[in-house]
Amino acid sequence: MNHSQIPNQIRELMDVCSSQQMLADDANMEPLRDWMNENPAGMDLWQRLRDFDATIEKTFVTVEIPSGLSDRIRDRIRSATQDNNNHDTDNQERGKSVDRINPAYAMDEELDRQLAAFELEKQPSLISKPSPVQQDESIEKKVDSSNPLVAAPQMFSKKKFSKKKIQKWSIGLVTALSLALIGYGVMHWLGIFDSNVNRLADGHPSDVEAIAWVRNIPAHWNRDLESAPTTDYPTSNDLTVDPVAWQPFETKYDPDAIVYDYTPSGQENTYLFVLNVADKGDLRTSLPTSPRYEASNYSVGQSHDENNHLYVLVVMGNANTYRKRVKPSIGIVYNDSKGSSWVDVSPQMLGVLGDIDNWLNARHPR
Amino acid sequence: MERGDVDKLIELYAGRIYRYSFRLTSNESDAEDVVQQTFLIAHQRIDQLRDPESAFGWLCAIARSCFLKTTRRNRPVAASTMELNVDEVAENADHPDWIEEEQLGNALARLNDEHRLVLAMYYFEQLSYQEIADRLQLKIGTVMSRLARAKSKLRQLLVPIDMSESIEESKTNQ
Repeated sequence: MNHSQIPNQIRELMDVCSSQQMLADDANMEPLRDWMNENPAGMDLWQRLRDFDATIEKTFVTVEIPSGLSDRIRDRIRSATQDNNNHDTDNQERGKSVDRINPAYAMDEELDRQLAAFELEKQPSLISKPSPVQQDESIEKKVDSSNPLVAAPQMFSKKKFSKKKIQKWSIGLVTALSLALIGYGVMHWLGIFDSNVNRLADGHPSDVEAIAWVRNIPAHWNRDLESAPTTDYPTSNDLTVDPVAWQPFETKYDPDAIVYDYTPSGQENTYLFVLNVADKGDLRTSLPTSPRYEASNYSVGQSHDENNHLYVLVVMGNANTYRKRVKPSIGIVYNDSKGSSWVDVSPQMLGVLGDIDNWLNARHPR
Repeated sequence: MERGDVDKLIELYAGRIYRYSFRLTSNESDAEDVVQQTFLIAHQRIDQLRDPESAFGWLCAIARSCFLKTTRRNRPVAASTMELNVDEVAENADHPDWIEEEQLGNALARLNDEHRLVLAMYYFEQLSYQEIADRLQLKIGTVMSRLARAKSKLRQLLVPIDMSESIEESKTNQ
């Protein structure tokens, strides 16, 4: 088959069809499915394109971070804030109107467009609910807009500050404060704030994305391995080390997941995460002898068994450190050089790996 | 969130946003500039971030905006980065065994901004095609097509071997 014989559409679909599930289920991929039925070699090519995806993905995350980056960012913010304050003071001294917008902060359409998605995603907030005054204003605008002579927006309206409205506001404010106090009291009594707000206030690791993780990671490791809830014991046959302890690894993908500590005394930390997830992509039943992914400070390999257990082995260190922890496969022959074919870009698998990354980052900050 | 929280965002995400910016700009000093600008804007607009869990995506969106502004202001389109004619592309390099990350990084740097952006959103931000389409105000088909062209161009830059060889090779192996 000549390259030019592969229709453009098929070539594009091969590139965008990123998972087995998409290939099997997505209606848009029908032409690709049909083509593959007629060209069985296409499946191998498709798989190799997924390997290429994995390589690109890895390249994106392996960029060396320049030292002192965070300090320079803070310096720049400090410096910009300082400039802004000086600017304010100068203007106030001159009695002029104050332009608070630093050019670097300038609002622009591009930024607003990029952030629009986040505006839409915002949770409904009581704060944004229109107040009675705002509702009144909208009625006023409606009335005003019907009259071309007063259609221009009015920055200040005497009506807005009428005694009646101030009274309304005051009553609303007092009511809201009372309700908030009662609510706080009830929640405090129920202990709802104990593990959430207080931990942050105490200077607990401030991972905004991983706040939930940080607060859920138990400090205590349970050394009684028999008490671990996973009856199907992890793939010890694959590993050169033995587990020493375990603790819960609560995730939305499996609230009963656990993590085993396999760290040999005085050596690099080694963890095995055991989750019950149906999403197994094309993982094999034994842990790969080489890592399938290397982050800046750890290496990862995964396997999956028929009971829907996903095993994720994480070794703090590079690929060589990882290899020392895994026994060579016996009796299982597969081409490990195509190892990155394990990558399943399904949201569930990525979510699991993301949660593991948060967990590791909390314990071993990069 | 409040302004004091920006410090936490810097602590957590400065590195990741730098990686993102570096892959977008392909240049260390531009990347650092984009990162600094991103957190400067984040500092100003932090009150708009209500859901801490979306902080990373929010910062990426700001970085993307900074990158696009820089691009439009500074960069003429080089002849080597003109839109690719898919029919002229030699499909290849689908096998990553021998591809060095550095080599791939260099190839990424040679793509045009449009292609790099869509690859970064897909591979780094892990956005779906639909999400990319929404963020860039494009049709989903355009996003898919752009991504396919970007990957195709990458393969072309990596090795000039015809894809047909891969297929023939697979047939022989079977």
